[in-house]
Amino acid sequence: MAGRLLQGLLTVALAAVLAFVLMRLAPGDPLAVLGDDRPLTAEARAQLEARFGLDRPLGAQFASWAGGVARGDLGVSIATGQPVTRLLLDRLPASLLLGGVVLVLTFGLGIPLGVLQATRPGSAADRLLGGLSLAAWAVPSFWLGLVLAGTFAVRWRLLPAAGMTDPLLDPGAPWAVRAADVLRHLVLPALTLTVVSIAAVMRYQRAAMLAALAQPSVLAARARGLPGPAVIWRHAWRNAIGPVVALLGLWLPLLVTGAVFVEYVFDWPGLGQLAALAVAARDYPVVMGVTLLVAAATVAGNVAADVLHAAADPRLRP
Amino acid sequence: MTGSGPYSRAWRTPGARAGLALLLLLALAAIAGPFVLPDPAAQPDVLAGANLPPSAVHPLGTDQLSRDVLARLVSGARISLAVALLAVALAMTIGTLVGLVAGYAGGWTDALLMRLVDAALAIPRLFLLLLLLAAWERIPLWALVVMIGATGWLATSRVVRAEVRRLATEPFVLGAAALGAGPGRIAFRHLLPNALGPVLVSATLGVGNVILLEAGLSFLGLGVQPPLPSWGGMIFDARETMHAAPWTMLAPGAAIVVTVLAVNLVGEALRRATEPGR
Amino acid sequence: MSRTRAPLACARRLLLPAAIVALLPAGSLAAQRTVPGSAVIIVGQDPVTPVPTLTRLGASLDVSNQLFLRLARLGPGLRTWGDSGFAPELARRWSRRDSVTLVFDLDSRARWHDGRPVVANDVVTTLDRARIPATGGRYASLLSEIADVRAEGNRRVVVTFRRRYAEQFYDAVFHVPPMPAHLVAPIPAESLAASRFAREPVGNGPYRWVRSVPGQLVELEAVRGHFLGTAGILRLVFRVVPDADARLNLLLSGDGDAQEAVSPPVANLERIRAAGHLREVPVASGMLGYILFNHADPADSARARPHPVLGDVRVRRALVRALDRERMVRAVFGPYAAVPEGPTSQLWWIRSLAPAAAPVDTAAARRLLAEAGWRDTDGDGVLDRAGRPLVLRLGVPAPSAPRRLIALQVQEQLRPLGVQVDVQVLEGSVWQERRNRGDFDLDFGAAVQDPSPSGIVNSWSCANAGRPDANVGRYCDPAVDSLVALARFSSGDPAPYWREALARIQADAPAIFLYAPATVFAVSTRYRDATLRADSPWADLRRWSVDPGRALPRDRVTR
Repeated sequence: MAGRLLQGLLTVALAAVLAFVLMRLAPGDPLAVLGDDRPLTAEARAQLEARFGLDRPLGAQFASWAGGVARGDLGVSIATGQPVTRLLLDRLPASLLLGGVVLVLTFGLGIPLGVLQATRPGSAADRLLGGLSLAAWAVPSFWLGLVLAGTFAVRWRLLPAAGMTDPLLDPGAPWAVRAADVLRHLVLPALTLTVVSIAAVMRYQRAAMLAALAQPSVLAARARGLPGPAVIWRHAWRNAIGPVVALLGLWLPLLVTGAVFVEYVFDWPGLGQLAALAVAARDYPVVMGVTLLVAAATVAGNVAADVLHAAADPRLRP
Repeated sequence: MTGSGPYSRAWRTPGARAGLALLLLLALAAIAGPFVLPDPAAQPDVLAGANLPPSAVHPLGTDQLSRDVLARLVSGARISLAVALLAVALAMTIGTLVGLVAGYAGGWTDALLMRLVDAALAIPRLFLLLLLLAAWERIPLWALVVMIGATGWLATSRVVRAEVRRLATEPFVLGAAALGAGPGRIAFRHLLPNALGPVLVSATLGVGNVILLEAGLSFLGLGVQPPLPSWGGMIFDARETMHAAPWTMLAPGAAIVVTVLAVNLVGEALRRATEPGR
Repeated sequence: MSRTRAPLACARRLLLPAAIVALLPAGSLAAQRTVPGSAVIIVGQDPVTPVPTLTRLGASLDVSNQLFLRLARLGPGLRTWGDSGFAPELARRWSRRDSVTLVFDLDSRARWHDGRPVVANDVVTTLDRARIPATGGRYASLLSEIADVRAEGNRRVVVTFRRRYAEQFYDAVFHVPPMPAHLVAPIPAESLAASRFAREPVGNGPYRWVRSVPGQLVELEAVRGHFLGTAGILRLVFRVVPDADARLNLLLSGDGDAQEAVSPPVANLERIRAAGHLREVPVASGMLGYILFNHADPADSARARPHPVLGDVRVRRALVRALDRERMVRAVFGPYAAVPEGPTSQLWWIRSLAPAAAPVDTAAARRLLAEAGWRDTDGDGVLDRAGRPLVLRLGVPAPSAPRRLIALQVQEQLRPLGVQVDVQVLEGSVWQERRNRGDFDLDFGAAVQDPSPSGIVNSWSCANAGRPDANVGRYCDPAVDSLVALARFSSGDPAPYWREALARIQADAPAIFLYAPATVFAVSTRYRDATLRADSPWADLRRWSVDPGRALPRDRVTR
């Protein structure tokens, strides 16, 4: 386990170097946004460059950034002047909420649907669900988001079009009122993301379940005359849950940033939106901060996937 | 194709046939389009001819610069499909080569390559592309293809590596080595052809992904550059007109869904047909 | 400035039986019943540092203008010379001691939000800070004509100028509203942006700071008993939504009450009309869009050689003549933009002085190009001269949809003439860097102008040729420079000099001046007295109030 951890740290460090190098190949001026459409004097520019360390050699910049990271300091955003750690922490809850709800929905709906398909392979229901999931898989999330927002929020005014909260809701309002408000804002982005990602879970579950149903132990249980649901859920599904659970771990980075487009379209104040804006503004410290966080989440997710897979699959248990 | 090989098995499923038929239709439209449709860049009348609903003259209406939506859609199909096919071909080539080298050479080479792959995989592909594409003042089409290809081989290389490592212990490979075949010969004559099955499947499914990805990048303004039409760029532009002229939004979205669906239907059939379990 | 409606309504109430009063439409009941009121203003950027000297544009300025009053406000005529175009605000009155000295007497009722009175030293400290280049940034150059600012006692401020000129008063009152010296003086100027004061500003305006959620909102509340009157809307929220489409959706769905710049795209106007609860309010804006000609050769690293194509005034004039600017502007801005005849936005009172441009004439344009030696010798549809095809790169910043749309139209309109325009859509920061380097043939620029036409020297004077963010096209006509100087510094009516300067600029054709739009605001119809101002759009917000018959639940919340 310690080896795994060390290897993970190494991977994250390499990813950080990679992101740093790629970002600095890009032209564009992070100080341009500070100009506010007015000329920055040479003097002011020099002062700003010194403040953000942009006047030093790249190697030194990376070293001081990495040194800061070791102390838990991710630097200061060039565009807003705020600490990157604070920006990330401000936005993490929104990403986790959206990602978490989507996770629950995709797995909560995808697993039973996949099982249903597998128990009646080739039936009309199986083919319909298979076709639908394949079609959903082909939908661009940003397009679906725009269409849903245009229909439900703008045309019919049933739900809020953007954001995570009603800004005028009194911060001192009862807990339930505030939760209901967030929930209303959550419906459309969560629906969009669920539609475009549920297909993966359904297909994984269907395939794993088909394989499990064909196993001798399950066939034997059937032959013993055990009732259908018991065989399906107690015998077959237990063997078929491994790969699907492993998918959970791979989903972890998605919680953080997989929703770039949806956050963008629905103005959801999460990390994906922050990342896209920071890259466009060449806000180096913020880009590095998000990359580090995402890389860590991905590596953690991979480890989690292996562990979960092993834990869920009885055959892999020691 | 006749016989009972995996490819003819795949072809026999209705999904694959529908998918192939759709793709063929699309290719035909992309090729014939320019000869029958108006110039996709022409702006006949920006004041009175903008945002016109579908009619006999403009089967899918016009956009906010009075350009013909169908002509732009077809012209965008050429670009979207070309980018996707080339990028995936590139990705598969790199992925296969890296996987082959890592899997067969083993040891240090393998460790180094796979650590690098791990590191790159730790950054989501979209994010990696955002960083890479930002490096261009203005992205030429070939660079877009290279970048999408260069970020798409990571998973393939792992699959090929695993396949190669499995095959390397098979009797026919060991036998070839015993008969004095060099490493290059073994890699390309014995390992590569047998590892290609999974590559082909992931390539087909990859095309669908890349079409979505390219649309997304163009939507963010980082993909195909205007005035070249692309589906993602059309959706981006249509945000301003989707309520006054819904066809500008629906047409490119539907085009993406249908194309990706068609590609995935074929890929899906191929995957099932080549699955060892069947 | 008190409401005049109340006595009338009272009289009517006395005369009419109660039963009839109950049947009256909600509007006439309004005078008796008021709701605390709220307004959600949707903005595009985060108001990061809503504090004078740190901000000039956008949401930061909008918020800053609610928190901080100026000595005097610029009236609707936007006349920046002399003092007749101004009305009292922080200064109760003012007078002139001599041609270079102005005296302001502060209103004794003015208070900072922490309760301390506004004193002369506040004005002195703020202006002194803004005048030093190291701490004032851009403001230092705007205030460079101010020689000295002195307090005489607690309520009197004396401003001395280096010389006599037309916009002394404007410079003294417009650029920098005073900040509280007792809070700001201890903060070193360079750390003001990162200070607590910049995060939670203490002002003297009709609204005070409540809270901010970075990237999402800034909330203000009305100062009760403010010396200019308590605002009719108690809660004011600036809601930050970076995405334009999401912004409009928020407005249309009723979650927002007002928004700046809802059009272009013009298609939005139809949606706003269709929504029924919004009205569109065009307000003159300082925006000016133009395609700049590079006078220097981008291939020459010293930028000393003239541009091989655009160095010839005939080519520049030909391109201007060939384009149907009116058509392009209507297609993108609908009715709410003027086609400018010079570098003049709607905020400049001199805009009407420029001569009307010659009408669109492609035949004349062709003739001019032929005179300049451009012919299509190889028959490829693109003109050429000495082996060089007439191909021009046009840099456009990706974030600006109007500029992208107009660029594509320019490309299409010039194609039949044999002029090939390569539209290059660039990311904002890249575009900026490139234009500052002078690496372009054509550049689609846009400026946001102050009301003062003196700003013309920024981008169109020899002195600033080649300066980043200023005259990047290196246009230089000494005659224009001296005319502008005459207009600014001579006594008497400056209009004739401006007229002459604008006519010369038009003849030089340093750019294709494309659009001087109005900013189109959308405001909910549930507000009464909802007026907007050109110099600072939301500055009249304190006079707005909510029609009680159309109040929303959030209007009844009080803190």
